[in-house]
Amino acid sequence: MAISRLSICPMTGDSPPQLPWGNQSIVLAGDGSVWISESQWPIVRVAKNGSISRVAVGGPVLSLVVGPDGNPRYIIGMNLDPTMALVTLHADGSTASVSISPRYETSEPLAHEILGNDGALWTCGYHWFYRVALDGSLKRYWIPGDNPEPESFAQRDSGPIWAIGQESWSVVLWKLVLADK
Amino acid sequence: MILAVWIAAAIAPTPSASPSTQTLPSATAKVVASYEIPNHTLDGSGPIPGRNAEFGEPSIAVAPNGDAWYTAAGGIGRVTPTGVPTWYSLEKAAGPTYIRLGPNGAMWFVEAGLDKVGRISADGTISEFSGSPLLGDLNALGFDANGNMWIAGTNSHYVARMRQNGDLTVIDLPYDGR
Repeated sequence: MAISRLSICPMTGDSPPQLPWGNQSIVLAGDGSVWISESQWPIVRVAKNGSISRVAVGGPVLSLVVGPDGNPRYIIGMNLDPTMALVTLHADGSTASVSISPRYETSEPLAHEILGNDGALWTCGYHWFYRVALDGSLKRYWIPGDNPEPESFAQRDSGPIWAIGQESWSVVLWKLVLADK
Repeated sequence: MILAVWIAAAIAPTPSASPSTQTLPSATAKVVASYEIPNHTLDGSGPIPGRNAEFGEPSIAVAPNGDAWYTAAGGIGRVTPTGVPTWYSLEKAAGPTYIRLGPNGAMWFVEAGLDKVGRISADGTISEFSGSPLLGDLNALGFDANGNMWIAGTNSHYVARMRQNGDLTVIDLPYDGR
């Protein structure tokens, strides 16, 4: 077993605000590069050949997700923040940002995932799932129950959504289907 | 005519209306099933998941066969598509979190309280791997297309790549003062 250590250029300025636990994510993009987010630090990209680059972000990033097109995405600025947007990252360091509309006071987002094949980014919080389509349109899904607060969720293919979180002072696992009325 | 125009202008939506007054499309999620995880109450009599390293952070992943695997205080749980639950205990201070599907169908997770990485196979066999002294505050992991594992630590300003042969490369991330 060999151990080596690499360093990249330091960032100057004040320490960024910290998000709660779960503020990091590591995802594999379609081109084989690995992207890492940590709170408000620049997002780091490690290419297949080992080269390292950074992409600056304008605010805390809860987590990265990879869409069907292979590009990492994240949401920035929920809760009526005028910067509320869906951001797509590209291998060359460029970004594409789409405003989320309508702006709406959401629950505190606790997790982000891509569900399905349409590239929409889903997030969850107290009593709600939120779906942000690629065009930035926002829709929400009510989770019935006694103050459910999912903190992590996942789906395989087009199967049910599994979520884990808190409800009525207990830790609960949910099996969900999100259907339009 | 002028009056009609004035009335139309008066009742037209105001572009500067508060965002919160906009209509947000809504629907309802159908809860097919729910499972209360035993011994994980939040009333002070049991462990409090997701609040510190000792107890970990609830996390969930779905295996190719549809089994849902999750982390909770003290262990790893599994629920089959037909609803059969199984619980696999870990050391009390393990603080399991960030469970992800890895190569060969096994689930991998972080033991944040012990700075270890864990692997649980489909038959429930658990293996634990201690990090090098370079690694601390483990919080997240993932795999690249070659099966290499990438790990990161909370506020530890590094990510690391571990090849399948155990070779480890630590990449320091920038932070204030360095």
